[in-house]
Amino acid sequence: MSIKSRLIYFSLLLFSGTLLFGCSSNTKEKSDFYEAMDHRTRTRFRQYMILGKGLYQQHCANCHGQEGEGLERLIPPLAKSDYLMAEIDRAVCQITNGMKGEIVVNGVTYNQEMPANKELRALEIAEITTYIANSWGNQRGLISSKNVQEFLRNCTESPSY
Amino acid sequence: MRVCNLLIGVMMLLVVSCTQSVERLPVMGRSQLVEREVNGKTVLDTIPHTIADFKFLNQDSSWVTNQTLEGKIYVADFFFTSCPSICPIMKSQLIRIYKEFEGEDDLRLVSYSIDPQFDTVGVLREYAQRLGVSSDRWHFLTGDQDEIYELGESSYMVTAAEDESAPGGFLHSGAFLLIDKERRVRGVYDGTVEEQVNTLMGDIRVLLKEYVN
Repeated sequence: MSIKSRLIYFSLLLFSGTLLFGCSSNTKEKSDFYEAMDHRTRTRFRQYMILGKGLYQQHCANCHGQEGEGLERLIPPLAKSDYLMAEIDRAVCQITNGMKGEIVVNGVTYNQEMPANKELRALEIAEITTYIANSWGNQRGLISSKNVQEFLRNCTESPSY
Repeated sequence: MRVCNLLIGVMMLLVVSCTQSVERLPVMGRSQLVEREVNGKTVLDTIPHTIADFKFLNQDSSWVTNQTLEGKIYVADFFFTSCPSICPIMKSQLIRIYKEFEGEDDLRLVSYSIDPQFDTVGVLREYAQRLGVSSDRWHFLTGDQDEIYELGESSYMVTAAEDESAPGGFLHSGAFLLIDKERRVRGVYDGTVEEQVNTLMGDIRVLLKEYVN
């Protein structure tokens, strides 16, 4: 083997090593559900997370905060929120139809009206929901647009939950 | 010749250090020219733009006027409690200021509601309580809608209007205004941008220094 080809071989090895390492550290944060996903679902999940982040910043972050931290006792947090994670289908209805009335999140009572987002399509709601349900310590896996359509069919009429 | 150079150097240094120590914020707004008689002579005098008289109720149902804020500098903003767009981010930025200047008795925060029909004293009290802030340092004000809009536009130079097409039904600016003890506007900042609020916090310190003797 010439020095040149050895060098190429070595750098290729190094490159693939970095790739492997990069991938494994990436999946480390994502737990069992991510491991269980097939390749197509993983790609979709990653896409949803990226697009969901953009939509979240545009439609949700002003109130719920960049890191889902909420605002004092006025606006509830999404990060590590027991209320959000207990019923994701309820969250999908609330994002779409808005909500009114008291809710208890992590032991704190909140009572601030949330506006509806009727202009968002099922796919966009799915991306947002996937993002908030898998960020800041939340772990739920992919919520597909098919899931969202099904959840939306079963929303209760009243905008308060 | 050398001594001369040295002297010039020292003078330059003095000039530079002087300009640094008297850092002052600008006085904003259009000043008025008025004629005045001094010792029988007519002279032209400039009157700076100041915040006009106002009287509104705060979250404790107490009247707040320019006299209430006498001897204080303050940060003013316009908002409404049911606002779905920029208000929460403005409030989270104001809370940063509130916390940063915890022990500073010469600073107040004043938030005018531009939806005073909905934002009654009771609604504002609940809102302030939920934000965890005290009326000793932060007034949430309500009153006659036209008077609030008029004060906003003519005194604080911000836009506020009902607009059905805007989120929540009101169009308003996200500006924070820094007002000095003489009711003059000394700074305008975008209350939705963290870096601008950092600048504001620096300017608050500069302004407070003006009153230290």
